[in-house]
Amino acid sequence: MFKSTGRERVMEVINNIILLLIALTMLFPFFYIFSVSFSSVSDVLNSEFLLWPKEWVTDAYSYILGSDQFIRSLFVTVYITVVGTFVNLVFTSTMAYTLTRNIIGQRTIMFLVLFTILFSAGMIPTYMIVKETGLLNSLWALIIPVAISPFNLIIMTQFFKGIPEELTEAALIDGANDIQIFSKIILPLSKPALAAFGLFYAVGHWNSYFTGVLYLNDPAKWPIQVILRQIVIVNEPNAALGGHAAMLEAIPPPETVQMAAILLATLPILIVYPFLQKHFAKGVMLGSVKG
Amino acid sequence: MKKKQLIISFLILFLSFMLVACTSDQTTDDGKKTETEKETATEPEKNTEIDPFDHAEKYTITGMTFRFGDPPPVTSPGLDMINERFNVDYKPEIIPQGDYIEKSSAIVASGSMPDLVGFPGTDTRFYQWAEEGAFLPLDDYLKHYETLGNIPDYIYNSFKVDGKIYGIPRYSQPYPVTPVIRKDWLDNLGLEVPTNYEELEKVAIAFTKDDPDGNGKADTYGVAIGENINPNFNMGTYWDFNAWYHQNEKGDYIPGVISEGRKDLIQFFANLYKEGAMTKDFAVLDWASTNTEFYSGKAGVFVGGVSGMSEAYFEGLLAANPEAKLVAIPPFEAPDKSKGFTMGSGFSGILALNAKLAEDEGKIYRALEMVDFGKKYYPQDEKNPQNEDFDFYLGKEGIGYNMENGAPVQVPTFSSDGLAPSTYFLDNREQVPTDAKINYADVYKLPELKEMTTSLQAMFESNPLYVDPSYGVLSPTNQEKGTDLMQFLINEQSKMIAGQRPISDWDKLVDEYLAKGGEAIIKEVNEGIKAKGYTDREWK
Amino acid sequence: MAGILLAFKDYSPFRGFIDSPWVGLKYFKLMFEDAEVIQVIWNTLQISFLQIFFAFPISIILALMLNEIRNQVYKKFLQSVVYLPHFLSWVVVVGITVIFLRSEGLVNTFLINIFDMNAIPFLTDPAMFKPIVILQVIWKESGWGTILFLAALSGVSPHLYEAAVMDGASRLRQMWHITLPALKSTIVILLILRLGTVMDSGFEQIFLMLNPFNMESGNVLDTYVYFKGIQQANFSFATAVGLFKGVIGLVLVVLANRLAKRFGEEGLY
Repeated sequence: MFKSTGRERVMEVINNIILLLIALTMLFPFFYIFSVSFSSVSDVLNSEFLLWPKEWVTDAYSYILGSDQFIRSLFVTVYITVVGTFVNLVFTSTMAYTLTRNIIGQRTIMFLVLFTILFSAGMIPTYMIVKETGLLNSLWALIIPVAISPFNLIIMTQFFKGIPEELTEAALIDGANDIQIFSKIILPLSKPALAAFGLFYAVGHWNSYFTGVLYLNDPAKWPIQVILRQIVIVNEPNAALGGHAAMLEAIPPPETVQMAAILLATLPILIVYPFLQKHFAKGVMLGSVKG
Repeated sequence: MKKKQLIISFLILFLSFMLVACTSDQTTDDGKKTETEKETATEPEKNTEIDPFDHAEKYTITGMTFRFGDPPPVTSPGLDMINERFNVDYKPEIIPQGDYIEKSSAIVASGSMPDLVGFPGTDTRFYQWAEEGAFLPLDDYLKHYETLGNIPDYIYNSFKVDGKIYGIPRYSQPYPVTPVIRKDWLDNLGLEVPTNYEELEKVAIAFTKDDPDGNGKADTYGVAIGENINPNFNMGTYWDFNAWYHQNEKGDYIPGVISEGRKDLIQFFANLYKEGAMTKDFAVLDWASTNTEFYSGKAGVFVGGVSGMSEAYFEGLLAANPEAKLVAIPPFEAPDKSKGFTMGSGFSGILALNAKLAEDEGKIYRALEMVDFGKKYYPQDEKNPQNEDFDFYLGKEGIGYNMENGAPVQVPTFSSDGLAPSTYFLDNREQVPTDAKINYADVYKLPELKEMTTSLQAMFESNPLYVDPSYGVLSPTNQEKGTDLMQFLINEQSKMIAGQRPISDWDKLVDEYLAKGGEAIIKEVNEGIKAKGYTDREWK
Repeated sequence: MAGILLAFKDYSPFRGFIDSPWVGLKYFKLMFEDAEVIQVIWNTLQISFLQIFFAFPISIILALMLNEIRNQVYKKFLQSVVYLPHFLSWVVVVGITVIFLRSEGLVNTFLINIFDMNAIPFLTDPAMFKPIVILQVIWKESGWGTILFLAALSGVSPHLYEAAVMDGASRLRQMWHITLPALKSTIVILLILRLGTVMDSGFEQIFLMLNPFNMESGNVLDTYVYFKGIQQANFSFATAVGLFKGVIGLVLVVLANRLAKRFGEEGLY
């Protein structure tokens, strides 16, 4: 192992402490959400700030889980996330790899990709394309239009470029074709990167909300974020602009229900993370073993 | 073998590029699709030969509207019942209220507007699109229908475009949402229900400083108010920011938000703010949190309406404050001796028909028949299985609803399982006839809430309501800039309340408003008011 | 890209794309005739650059700090925790901010009771708007931002560190000479991409944080378009502003890319 000097030890301790503090500030709101979700409505109404439930109640959870809609939407979202992320990774990685090869017009293509980030089509043209391709009201409408994020594509291309060229050259001399190089050399070496992008995409799918409402007519197909949104933000009519008639119609559910819904909708995707973390850690672990 | 792999890899590359391109490329020929619409947006042919209620032909009828609750499923017993009864293939799309503007805009802009389109009451897109010829004029059809034909003209008039009726109004009761006060707190402090703003100010300050709930803690205050100075706590039309009541020196009506009455009201709020007798963070509190301020028992003055009150909130208030009792505050007498609140516009939304329907008159009749049925009013003593229409509307006794103590109670899953046809009518708010006798308290279970509703209804019935002359008057400038200007005024007035802008700036603020387009709005609205023959202020 | 032409037309879905009249630069003029717009663009740029100067480096520093942790279990735990805030929507984050910062909130109660100070109007003071928004972004996104850097670091060959240890290099020196250079290309790419979107500044967050009092310092291009265009289904106006944003982004990206190349980096294209 490393030999650390005294000064470095001190620094290490400080580093640890700072990180712990950061972690605590980040955990704090979750703590609050958790406490509120298990409190009774009147306790929440009558205390400024709840850090621990005065009395444990699961009313909020039984309210949410009482309807099929929440669970059904959770499954829809799991499906979109799994299938969508798979599609994302396949398309992004193959295209990124192609862009690392010296093909004609590579710079132009890269520039075009960049262009799509800067001049994103508005909601309406995209809606028209989805409609014309017959994807309306199909879950694929939430997957195919976002199959490649130009942003992730650019970064993945950078990662692939970072792989030493000697490796691919050696393979080429051995008579491997592009597909073999891609699947036997590039992919295995890019596991941490793939895990990172997988996580990006997965979270993107998990949190995607507006496309759900926009493209799907059937409430049975709505992803969880749409439901969550309905519980958490009741879009209040702007009374200043004359929404008086609707003022009393739009009273939202109690805060306890809102917090419980946030927790329920966030937990599943958090569980995914440890599985991916294995891959993240691999490279680093290799280092420490040998070091 | 190798070749095949190459082809595949090429294909994948090609496809993936296409997809990136697709997310940005906008090469749809929207022009082509909408051209056909233009041709059909002509006047319907008047053909009296057709029997409006002939069901021989089966039609596909599409529609979209907004809803506050969860949308129902797309296939269900309730929908089947509608299809069978009206011989249609009915495809309603019901969209959560918060996403409606964006989604419906996308649907319409892509050239696929459904047969029936719902609009919230304040949606300016209705007027914009009606002018562009998107909707079918309904004037000649309404007479065939029992409910649609009997909606008062003044309501239809209020949203006519170029003199034609382009939509069906969604009912809203004429009584406004008005201030209510904690009677139990008044009693604890030995105070009376206030009858003018000075008394209200004193009460609000007493609620803040004299511990009205007697718990020994300074944890209460007067008036609960949230962002956009909402509720606006007008104690009569004189102070109503939304009503056209005051007149300028030329005798033209002006909007309440720039009137003397509003100025007094803002001064009243500024006093409360200084004393801590209204919600301190009013500028950042959304509607939900404003409700919480009141229903948690922190504030003593809020608003209530005869319908649409939340029993869950009320229960929350009672759980923490079992003694809580709310009463309506009757309107104050204004400096000009007027007394009374402003009457509502009578509608809270509009349902329009696609101009394309003109191609097939039979379809127009069928669509209107369905709309008519959805809005049908049943008096209290006909809300039972003996009335066949009513029984159908709620999805048959024993399936969609049950009779309990002589009143129909819908089964808990009636909406989520789509058991009742009522859920699927785009406008399913019953159109209460002007002469119907209703007891608003009937729909509530909590005795305390019944009591409050009754006090509100009694107050409204014993006081006249002001008929706003601006209802139904169209002002193009208002359509274009009205929302922005209103928001501007409300923002500046919020600053005045919080002491960030002096109230002595009032005249300057009004001038700013007039210069930014207010002048044109006032001119256009007054022309409209004169055109419809409204001269002296009308009270009903 | 035909959709961009909408910016030069008075688009009405009922007249159709072809028949909607050409209006030339009407919507661009409309945009710049408004005195507010200069303030709005200035706000947008300020918020974006503050984010680039503060939030962006914090992700890098956090990644470096995490990289120095030796205990793998502890490291995994910390990594998971710093990602958590990313999963909360802005509605929730803003909601919590309000609970903390309102005049009777936790922070002000603390200031009043412990330090005997006056309550600070965090939510309505225009001067507070930008710092709070930046802090929110740091809190919510800096942990998540470490992912790419950590992924890049995991690709660093352990041999380099071994060699450095042989040469007697301290941890700090290793960080400076091995770890940071390994991140350089990722940092450059991310910065260039971020520059391309300086005219975006998190619509939802800003929208939720705005109120009449901080409007002048908080209104950004996205919220401006929302107030003026979207609410009234003015498709042409929204497209015109989108086009304007894109052009600015394009110019900045091309410049940044040039600059990166001059300094010997690979650049984007």
